[in-house]
Amino acid sequence: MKQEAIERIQTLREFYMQSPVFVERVTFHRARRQKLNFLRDLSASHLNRYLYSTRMRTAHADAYLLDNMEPVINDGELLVGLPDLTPLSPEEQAELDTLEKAYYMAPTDAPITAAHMALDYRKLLKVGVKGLLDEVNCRAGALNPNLPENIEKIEFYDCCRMELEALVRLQHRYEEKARKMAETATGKRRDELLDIAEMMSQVPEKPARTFREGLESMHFYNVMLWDLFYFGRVDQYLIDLYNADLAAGRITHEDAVELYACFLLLPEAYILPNVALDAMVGGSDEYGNTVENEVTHIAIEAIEYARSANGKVSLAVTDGTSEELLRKAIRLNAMGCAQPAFFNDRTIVEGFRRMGVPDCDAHEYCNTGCVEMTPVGKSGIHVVSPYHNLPAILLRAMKECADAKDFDDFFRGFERVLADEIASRNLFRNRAQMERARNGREPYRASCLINDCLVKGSAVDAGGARYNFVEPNFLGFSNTVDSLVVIAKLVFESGELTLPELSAICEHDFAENEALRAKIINKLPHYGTDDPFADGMAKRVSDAILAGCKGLFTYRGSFLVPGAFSYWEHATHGSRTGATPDGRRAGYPLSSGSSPVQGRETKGPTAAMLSCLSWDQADFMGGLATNMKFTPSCMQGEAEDKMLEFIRTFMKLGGFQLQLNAVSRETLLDAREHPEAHRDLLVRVGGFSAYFVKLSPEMQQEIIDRNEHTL
Amino acid sequence: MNTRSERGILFDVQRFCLHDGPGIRTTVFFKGCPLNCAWCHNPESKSPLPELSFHRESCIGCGECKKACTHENCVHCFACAGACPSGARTKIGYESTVDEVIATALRDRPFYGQDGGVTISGGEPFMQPAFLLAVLEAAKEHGLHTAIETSGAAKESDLLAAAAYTDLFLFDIKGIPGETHRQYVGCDGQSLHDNLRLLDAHGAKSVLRCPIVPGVQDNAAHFAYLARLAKELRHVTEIDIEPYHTAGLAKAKDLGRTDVFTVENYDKAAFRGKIEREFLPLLADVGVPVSLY
Repeated sequence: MKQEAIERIQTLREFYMQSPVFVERVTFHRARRQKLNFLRDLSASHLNRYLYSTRMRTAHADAYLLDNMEPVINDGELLVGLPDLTPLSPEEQAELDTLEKAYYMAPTDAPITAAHMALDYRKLLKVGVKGLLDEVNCRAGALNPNLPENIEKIEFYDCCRMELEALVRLQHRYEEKARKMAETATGKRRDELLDIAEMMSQVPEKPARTFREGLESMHFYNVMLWDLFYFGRVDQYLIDLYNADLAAGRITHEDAVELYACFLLLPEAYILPNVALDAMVGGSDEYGNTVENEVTHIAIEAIEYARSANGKVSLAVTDGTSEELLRKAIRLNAMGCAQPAFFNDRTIVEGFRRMGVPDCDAHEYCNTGCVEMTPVGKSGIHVVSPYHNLPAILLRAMKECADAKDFDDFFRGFERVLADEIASRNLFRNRAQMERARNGREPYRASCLINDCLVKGSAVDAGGARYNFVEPNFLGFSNTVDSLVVIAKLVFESGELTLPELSAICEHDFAENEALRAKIINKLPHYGTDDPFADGMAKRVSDAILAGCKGLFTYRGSFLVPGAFSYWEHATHGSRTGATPDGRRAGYPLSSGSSPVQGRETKGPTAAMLSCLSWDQADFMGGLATNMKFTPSCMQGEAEDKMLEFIRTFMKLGGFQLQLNAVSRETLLDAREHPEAHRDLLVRVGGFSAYFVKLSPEMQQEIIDRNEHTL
Repeated sequence: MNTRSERGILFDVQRFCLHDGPGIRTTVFFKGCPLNCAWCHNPESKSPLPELSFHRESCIGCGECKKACTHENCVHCFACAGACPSGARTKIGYESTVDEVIATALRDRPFYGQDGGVTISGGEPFMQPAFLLAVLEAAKEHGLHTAIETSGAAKESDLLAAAAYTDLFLFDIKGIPGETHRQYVGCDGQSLHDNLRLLDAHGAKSVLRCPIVPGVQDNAAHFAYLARLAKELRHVTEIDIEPYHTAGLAKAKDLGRTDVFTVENYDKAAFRGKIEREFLPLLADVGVPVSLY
């Protein structure tokens, strides 16, 4: 890439890292300053308007915020659109919290996750916002307002219209702003600003005409939702635009990489650190043919220049994925970019088929944040709803089933406690879904890009999406497996302990029982060492989770799809979970995702992988991550061939998602001592990448403790 | 498939080895070695018998070892290692059957791809020739790629028997045969290198693995010898230059060895740089790839 382009990207990166969202952790949720102004002004005007329902007021609030945002265009930007993130003072924050609750008559912290959907950007690029407005008007106009069942639909379309029109007005204010800035700008930047003005006269309102307009359209629509919505399969959506540009001589491969790097960097400026905004490339089309085009490579190559933590590219791998692409991906991971993650197309498509998703939808999936899976543009999903703490459930079962006569009897008790927990928390979720259906808070312009909301005249919150899975997530899988091994061996096989004794030892955090703890760690079988007994236990635990989810339904008439990844919740939940029978001390992070317990994978990565793949991952479409940490030397040079074979084998064996972490222990220790020197050190934690120096001391320690594979 | 219950003494099976031959490999470490290389990085491999290792840093002071021990002086019953919960006291060396070795390798088979397979290392694998041959035969019955890491301290007949089931020899070249070789390795090395020539004459492929220890092999004469050897032999596929590393020291300490070879103020990065600058050019025209680790 040209030196000039590299410098532009570096400058933008430095600039975005100074953003309030990064420095002061200001959330961008719903453009806060505008919202405060809106709510303060509430009594004066807004409630006097003809806003009959909570839904109308929600849409009106969003339209107001869009109409009151200042366009922001920063130096060097080629793609534009950022929310105003000026921090609120503590008093203003308190005022906002109170007013917001009063306005919505609901707690502001969502009882079920919001957003985390992948929108139908293929459609946006083809028809533009104007196309969506036409559809809204057309469908609304065709409804007979005298039929009671149409009233709710008409209201839904009104809400969509209010927001979409405001979005277009904001777009044109960007156009004006760019033109105005161009008047005073000089030299090359002047031309760039005029290009931006031209671009903002077009998208997202009208269909994208160029590769750059395609990126801008997706970014602008997305950022102005002020929440976590995902891009889906960008290489499929952008390839025609790119080819047209290429044929017309408007773009080179290098230009496209530069633009994509700008696209990847934008989320650094407005999303909280440690949260990912993914786009996925590769994979297969609905007929099962491998997708790999020039934009696939452009997106992957851009990672090296952007080095972004929030903006991410995920790679879906098929048998047909080229060696060249995989090698590029391995090299990026070896360089410490902590991207891309490798997703197994075959396992994921198989998982969706099992959930009854037809092939035409099953191939177009995307991870939305970590590794949770959702069909793109047609799914109103609730991810990680809720987080279940498996070790805490096991500790409870040890008390409730203290009189079990043999291990199978105990395990049945554990299954019962687990199933009760899943069911009772599902009821709570369903009540939240019911409230959402009446007074939903998702932006209506998100519903406009989720099929079949516009067709049905029904918002995502009201169940308008084609798929409505709820994905509960199970933490501490491996602690639970190892703990059950300990119970089987020491309580029911050798009989050296009773369940109440073991419970008491855990409650006292192994005080005075260091020898027992050492024995558990060093002498008993562990998940992650290709041990048949421990792996058999993993299968039983995974079956118990599936059985607990089976037969439960959601308010929207869908079902539960479990996952077992952990974001950083394994640390938060770990900090409030007592010691567990596997030797984990009280307060220490739980095991991460489905990876073996930290420090227990003593037989090397092949054994760890065989354990992780000893149970069927395709049933866990709520998300699974297999973490492997290697020093860069294990992926570079001659070892790159071996890593390639390793990844291919992971895919052949039916793995779900593989994350490679390239980092040396020395580097980590040094980064802990001298954070200032390692501000850009990226590590993968669960499903996301994070700046190591921004992690808590406990998380840093956990990453250092995690086995590092070097041979 | 035959069951094979021949037994041998191993001290480890390492899975996912990246540097012991092509592809991803499962490396089986045979215990026992007739040589006595001063810089040995696997000191636990020397004795053909099980040994006790004590890693002081892991000891939690629980006293279980004392309770388990019924002897005045150590008789190598390893009761203490069995009782030790922390893994500080361990028994190095265990009996294993051919079937057990092959079963582990077959678990890893999905990872081997086109190139990977089993590497027999040690110690000196040819210290247990019958067991070695049985393992190799069994591996070949399953179609696995096989490699042996050896110093060549073996009987000719054993070498040739094994060669029939071996795809690649990783052959250690510890020095120029002669007095210095005797001083550091315990034998003059001539017979070892003759064995390499014998294998080569029978068409066996080999990689020359060359440890470079400061003050021993870091001289032009040694590299000139390596170049001559590589050119003389017809089936050498690669030369690996392996600068000295200190991994063996901690293990020697745990085994209670006191006469440990050390290099004062050793800086591996600097030493590696020196090899690259001063000696690698001497191998420039050998006609096979040279890797510096």
